[in-house]
Amino acid sequence: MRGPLLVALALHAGLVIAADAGDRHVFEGAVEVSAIKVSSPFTTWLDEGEGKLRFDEDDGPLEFSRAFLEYRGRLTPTVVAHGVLNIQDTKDRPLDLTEAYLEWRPVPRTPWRVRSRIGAFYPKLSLENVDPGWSSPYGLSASAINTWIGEELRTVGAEVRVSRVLSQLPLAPELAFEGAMFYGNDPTGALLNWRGWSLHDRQTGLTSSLPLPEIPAIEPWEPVPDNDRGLEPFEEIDHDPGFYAGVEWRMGESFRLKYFHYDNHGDPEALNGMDYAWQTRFDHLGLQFTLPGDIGVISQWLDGITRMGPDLGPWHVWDSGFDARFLLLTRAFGRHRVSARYDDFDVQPYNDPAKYTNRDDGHAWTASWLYEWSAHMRLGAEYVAIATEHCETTQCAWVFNGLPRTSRQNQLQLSLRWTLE
Amino acid sequence: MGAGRWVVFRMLVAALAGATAPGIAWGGQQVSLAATGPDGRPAAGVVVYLPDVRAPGGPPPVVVDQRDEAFVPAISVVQAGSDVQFTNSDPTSHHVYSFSRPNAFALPLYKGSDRLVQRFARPGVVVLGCNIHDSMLGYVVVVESTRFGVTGPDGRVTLADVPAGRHVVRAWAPGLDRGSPPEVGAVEVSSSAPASLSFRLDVAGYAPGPKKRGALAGGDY
Repeated sequence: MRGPLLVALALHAGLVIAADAGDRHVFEGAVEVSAIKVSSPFTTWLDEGEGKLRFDEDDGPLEFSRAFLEYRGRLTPTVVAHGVLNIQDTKDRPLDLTEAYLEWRPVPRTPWRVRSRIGAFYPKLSLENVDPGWSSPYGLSASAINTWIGEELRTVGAEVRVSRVLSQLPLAPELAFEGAMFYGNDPTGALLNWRGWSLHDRQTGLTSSLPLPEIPAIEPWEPVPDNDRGLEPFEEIDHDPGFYAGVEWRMGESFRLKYFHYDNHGDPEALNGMDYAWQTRFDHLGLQFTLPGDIGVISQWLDGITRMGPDLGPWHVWDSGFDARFLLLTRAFGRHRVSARYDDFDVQPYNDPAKYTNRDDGHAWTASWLYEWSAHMRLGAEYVAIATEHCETTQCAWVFNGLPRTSRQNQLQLSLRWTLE
Repeated sequence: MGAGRWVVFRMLVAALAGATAPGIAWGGQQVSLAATGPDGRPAAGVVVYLPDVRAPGGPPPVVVDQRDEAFVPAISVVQAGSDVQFTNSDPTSHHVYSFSRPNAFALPLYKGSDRLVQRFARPGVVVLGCNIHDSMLGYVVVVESTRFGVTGPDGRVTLADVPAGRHVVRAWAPGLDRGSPPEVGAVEVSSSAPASLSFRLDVAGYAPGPKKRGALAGGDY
């Protein structure tokens, strides 16, 4: 536990610098530790197992969840530098940046506003992860969709958002269009294909790599090119840029509707050393609104495909469809916040299912409670219950390897977070 | 007392009244205006003015504060040629601008006790924004008049010291065309009694609630 203490001291030093600099340089950060109790038949995927959670039965009871320091610095009146330093665990690269970019916000001369980002950053997809450090104000573990975005998605490129307030309409809604061109993100989709969906609070650093599970789809059936060294999801392999484009209709926080199409334009046959590019594309829909009684509703839906290797006609060597959706209800009671979420997710292999059997069809219930004890201290409790079917019949590789055809993975987490403010 | 002395006395009283109670000058009458929306309910935040009154007096200069990442008040009216003072009560900086021609402007980044002044020379609706906080929205309505106001939560506003005569009333609220505020009626002001007018608009008025963190959080671009 010495690491978090050092981080806390470093964050405190950051706070002192920030106080001196006024709001030209803004630092925000947090350190979070948790007590964990997991019930799962699998080793966590982070230890190359099949488990969907960040921890397994060998972990706990005390775990270091995360520390981060987010910096925003105004270089000129219209150019802001952003950086997020993230410390998550010692599995790969304990200290890494999750975002580093410049934002240009020219003063509008017409009703259309232009905002532009260049560097490495999250596409603005998540309606859950809206707090500093891409953390969630609603719970401890992200939904399956946003967990995956934290794992495998990052824009390394340039993004433009053009928006206007339609002030002649009631409630003055904002209409926005955004699009980006990016390099990197060529292996994106590999983790979904091999491991399936997952639910946790871990984010991949920009230079970090991810372990791949020893699932039957990979071993011992076939050697997998990128298994030995793990997966670097933000690597550029085919030197062909990807793109995304989206449109949003928004009334402050009380209503948001956003459609988004993503295509990493990966060449499924491109190879860099032992790493293949994956051709991954998806459509995404996000909706958020407030019900009477001040109950917030957030929902995201995602549907796409990912494929790698030579084209065999009906499918590529590795070829999967994936989709997920969740519904989250949340309500604040003074300093308390209670949220409940239902996730439904699926990875469906299109290639020979009897052989590869990387099917992942499941759902998860999450209930969480957060309490702002003081301006600097937050307590949290969360229960996650995941149920998954790994293959449709008992005649599958998963079962031949002695793994259960279906599984339940549960986690109880108590968390204590110290926040810079 | 002769007639000449009486005139001097009247002038003295008028001068005293003008000096001690601005806006309640001798001879002017109150005009009460009441606005409702399309559903008949009181419309708050409606700008009203009497375009043909250019008499001296009228409301004092306007200050637009920035508080909790909102313009306060969200809607102001000024006479063409007036200065508006922008103040900042927030701990963070703001960068106020407007793209509304011919009153487009941008004030430099400022925070704390800085007070910046912007002159609005030409009539028109000026949409205010903050380049740092995209969710901030405000309006300054610049009018060629010295008798104007903004309706309160009850949809009512009283204009003081309106000279006798028949005056056209114009009104504007967000949602209406920003080009030319429509005529909503006229008031007949006599020298002996207050006048009033009720009118209905095609929009519901504008009453931004206090900014608070409700059920859903954040996500400003």
